[in-house]
Amino acid sequence: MNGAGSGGGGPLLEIRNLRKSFPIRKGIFKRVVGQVRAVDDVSFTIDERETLGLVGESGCGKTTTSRCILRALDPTSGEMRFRTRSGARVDLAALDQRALRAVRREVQMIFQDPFSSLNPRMTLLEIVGDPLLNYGMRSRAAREERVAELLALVGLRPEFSRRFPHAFSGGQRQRIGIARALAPEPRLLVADEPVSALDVSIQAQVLNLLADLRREIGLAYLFVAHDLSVVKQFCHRVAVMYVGKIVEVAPTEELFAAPRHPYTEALLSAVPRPDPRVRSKRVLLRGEVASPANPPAGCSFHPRCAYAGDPCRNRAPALAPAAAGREVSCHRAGELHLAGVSGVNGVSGEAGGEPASR
Amino acid sequence: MWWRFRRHRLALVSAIVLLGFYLATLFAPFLAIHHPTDSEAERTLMPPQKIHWLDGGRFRPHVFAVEGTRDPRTFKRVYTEDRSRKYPLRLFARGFPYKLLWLFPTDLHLLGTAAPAAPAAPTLFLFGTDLQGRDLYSRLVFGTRVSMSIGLVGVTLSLFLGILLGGISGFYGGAVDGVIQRAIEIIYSIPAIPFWMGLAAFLPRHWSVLQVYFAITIIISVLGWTGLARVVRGRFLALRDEDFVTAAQLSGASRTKTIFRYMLPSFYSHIIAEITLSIPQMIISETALSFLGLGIRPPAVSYGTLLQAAQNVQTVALTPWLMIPAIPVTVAVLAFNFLGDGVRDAADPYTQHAAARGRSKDRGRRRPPRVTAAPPPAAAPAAAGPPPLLSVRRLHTHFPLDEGTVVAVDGASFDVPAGKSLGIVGESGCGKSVTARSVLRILDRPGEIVGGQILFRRAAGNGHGELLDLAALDADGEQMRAIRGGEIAMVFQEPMASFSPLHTVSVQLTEAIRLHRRGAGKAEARAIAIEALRQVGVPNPEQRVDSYAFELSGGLRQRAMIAIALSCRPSLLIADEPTTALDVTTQAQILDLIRELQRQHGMAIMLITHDMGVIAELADEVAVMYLGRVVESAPVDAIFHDPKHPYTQALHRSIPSITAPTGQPLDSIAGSVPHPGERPRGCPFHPRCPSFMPDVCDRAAPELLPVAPGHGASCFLHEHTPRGAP
Repeated sequence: MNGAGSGGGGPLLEIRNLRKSFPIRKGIFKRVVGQVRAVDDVSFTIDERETLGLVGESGCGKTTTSRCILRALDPTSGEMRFRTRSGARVDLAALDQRALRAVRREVQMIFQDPFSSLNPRMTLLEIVGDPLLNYGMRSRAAREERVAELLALVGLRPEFSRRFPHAFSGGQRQRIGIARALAPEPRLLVADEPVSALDVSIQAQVLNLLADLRREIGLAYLFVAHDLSVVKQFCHRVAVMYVGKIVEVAPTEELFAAPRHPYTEALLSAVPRPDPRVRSKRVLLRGEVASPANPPAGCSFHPRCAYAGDPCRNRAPALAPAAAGREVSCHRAGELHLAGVSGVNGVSGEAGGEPASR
Repeated sequence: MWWRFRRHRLALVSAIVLLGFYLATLFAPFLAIHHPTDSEAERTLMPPQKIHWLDGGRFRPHVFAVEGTRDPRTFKRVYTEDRSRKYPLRLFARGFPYKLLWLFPTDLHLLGTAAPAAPAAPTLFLFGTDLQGRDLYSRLVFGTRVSMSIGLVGVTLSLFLGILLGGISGFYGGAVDGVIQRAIEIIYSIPAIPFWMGLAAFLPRHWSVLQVYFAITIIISVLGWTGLARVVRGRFLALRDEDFVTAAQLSGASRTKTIFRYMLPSFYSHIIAEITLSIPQMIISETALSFLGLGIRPPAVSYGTLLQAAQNVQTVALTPWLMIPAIPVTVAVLAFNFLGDGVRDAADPYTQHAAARGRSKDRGRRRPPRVTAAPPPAAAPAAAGPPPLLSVRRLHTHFPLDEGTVVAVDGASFDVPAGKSLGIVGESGCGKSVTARSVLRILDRPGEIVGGQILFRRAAGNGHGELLDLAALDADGEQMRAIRGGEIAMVFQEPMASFSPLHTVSVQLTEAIRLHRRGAGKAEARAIAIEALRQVGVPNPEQRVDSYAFELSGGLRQRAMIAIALSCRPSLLIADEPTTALDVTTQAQILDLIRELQRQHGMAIMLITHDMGVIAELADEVAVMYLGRVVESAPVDAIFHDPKHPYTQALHRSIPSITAPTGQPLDSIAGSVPHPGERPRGCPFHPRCPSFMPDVCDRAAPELLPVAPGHGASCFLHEHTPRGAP
């Protein structure tokens, strides 16, 4: 909206060395016997109007990261510098509850489950209007008007505002959740798996809506997802997480065409292609995802990595710049030539044999 | 909620009864006939007076005067009716003066005798009198006041304590929670009666009736709040992590607002139910205390003090009417319990399903099994080749619910070729899972197959095998049980839910093996189990076989599940979303495993999924389902490269592809899948179809007809003569 007013002041959100550990307790006296390092030294930035995809498998810490940014969880350490609408830089990690409330206007969330995220006892007017009330819109008439606008914005009929959420389908409910998130006029939307609970035909509707909002309102997104096809379609840049760490960050097209980290390569090759003619020859990973309570020494990925060498077993690599706009955390990033999406399936051409794409 | 409550007949009646009770407490003096403390030595222990309804053939209720004399030998008072003095009964008669609702002085009473200005005042003792000659009926009416109100006041008090302490405990958690929970446990461990007796003994003798009343109330609720506190705490704990509560906090709601606007309303109905169920406990407690002489003291009247008079065997034998106060106690307590049940059922939507299930009827009635040799009736897109292993023909599966019948499967037809994979793809609510469960005859209640055939080709000794209609078999019969898990096995989406948490993988695996392979010894079954785990790629199967399902990761659990499914060498494996709960790299492993096992064992697979990618990876033939119907069925290549049905085409366009360029808008399907209870007329897809033809598609449903060899589509675009309006 008026985000450009503070132009040129660096990224909208800058995460530096974010860590979040959960203590493991045992016994009657709840003695702390260990730490689950769910998020372990994560750094990334999101620019204004930019969509950063955060991908990884379950337990990799992507949801914990997003909850820390919203301060639904308090981070163990690290900085989360956010540039507010007024141009001030605040560290989300250091704010007290009162200051946090003011900043939260600008950072909102879309939930995965369109059913549990809406209060079944409230009408749409209350669900979408309550954030307005919380931020000082006292007049009921003004709220009703704004709610109608917001509902129209997300593609719902304004007359629906007197209804309860149970009258709506999953896709419509997700739109209600988006309208609620838009109510305080945020600049950053944290979307935690916003389409993974939806049917494919509805998924496309919601993704298109989110893309329209990005264009019309100038929203930035942190898009947490496990579905790589959705991430490929929607995100500008992608950060890949594995066992609490970011292993690779790159612009979307580059990451998918030529991954620099072996885990990214395996992840891409595991995605089933919706085309029987390209039944893939996959890079199958050995074994299981490492436990964040007890990660292996050296690079967390080395026990499963086909390219692992001696340094990988002893020393954890750091996330380092690999090319313009790209960062990777791998000792052998410089020497490996990894297969991207078009390379693995053995079919020439980018959209080889994809019949339905236009 | 009110709507659901009204259907609970017993609770509704109870509510009316209780309303009556509480009206009685308000209008006690009006309902009473005598003053509760009026005693007459002349009339001690008088039995209930008989009301004579008819007077000379006409309805004119009256009583006769009663004369008491003392039996000279037993000194017992004997009462006889004096037929000469007749007092007609009257409504709104005059009696002792009182203040109606503590406000309006009056002397009107509901019932009385037309009092002649006689020297001996007319008597009316409906329930007889007690030892002091006081009217039991009137005392009972006044006793209702104390007994019923003590429940309300006591519950209000424990409600306050319970919500406050339970709320603090649940919302803040941590150390506060620990302290409160320990306190509750200590209170729970105190035996109630001795505790009350101890406390009651502390009450000073000189306290007024009112002071004692409140003291007793407090004593009772001191123990009563704990249960409520636990309920409230549990609810708070559950709600604290609920998405919509997080959403409220994120959208700037303060802590107080979060509690009172978002959290409390979500369970106030449960609190009401809890309260309704705890009031009778309070009433019973008061009655018990007063009965023991520790509670309400005379001259105050309560059910307990009234029953105190009936403490010995003599009373029961000689003056049974003194037991009458037990009746209202029982009635009130029962009424509260029924009401509480009704409120809880209305507040808890889950019981609705239980009620609906209970009502599903004629489940036992099944036709005898039959072997069909005749060719299947419906047009099948059957390709040339060997006969299919499984042919489903016009399958209809319905769920008769209270709100109406849900048509989950509406005439689905498809074939599973032997040794090949059929993928059934569709969105939620398309009936794909119900179809799978219909084949195995493991439908959740009240679902039932109402039409169609499920023809399964059984391997038999004579070579060709027999064709068996699974839809006609008894779902729990021996034949079906032998097929289930033996010839047809199933793998579910959530492997955790399919394992018993109480048994090790070994127990469940060997059980499955021994069930279908008669004669296998324990050691032999274990060896087979270990081998089966090794086959599905479980590392260290000798050790893993003795672990519990929750000790395994999602991928390993699914492997173990597949091992169980394959342990009996099924000819058909039904896999219902086998990889949906798994991560993408694990999914790749499992898909490879399934394909490899199929190659080894030559079994057929019926794969149910919503993921076109999984279909492309694994299926040979594909059936696309929409709203309970197969809209298109074809070999997998044709489904992806030459789809005929507009739904299949639209589905392809709406899927984001990993190979498509970033930022390209998706071509979405308008609208959403209708609720299976509200099926559109005609073709089920017509309201969302880009090629909708008015007056054709909305009139009749198209048949699944061949459009190419082995390729069927159910669409009027591909019927040469569209069947329009009749």
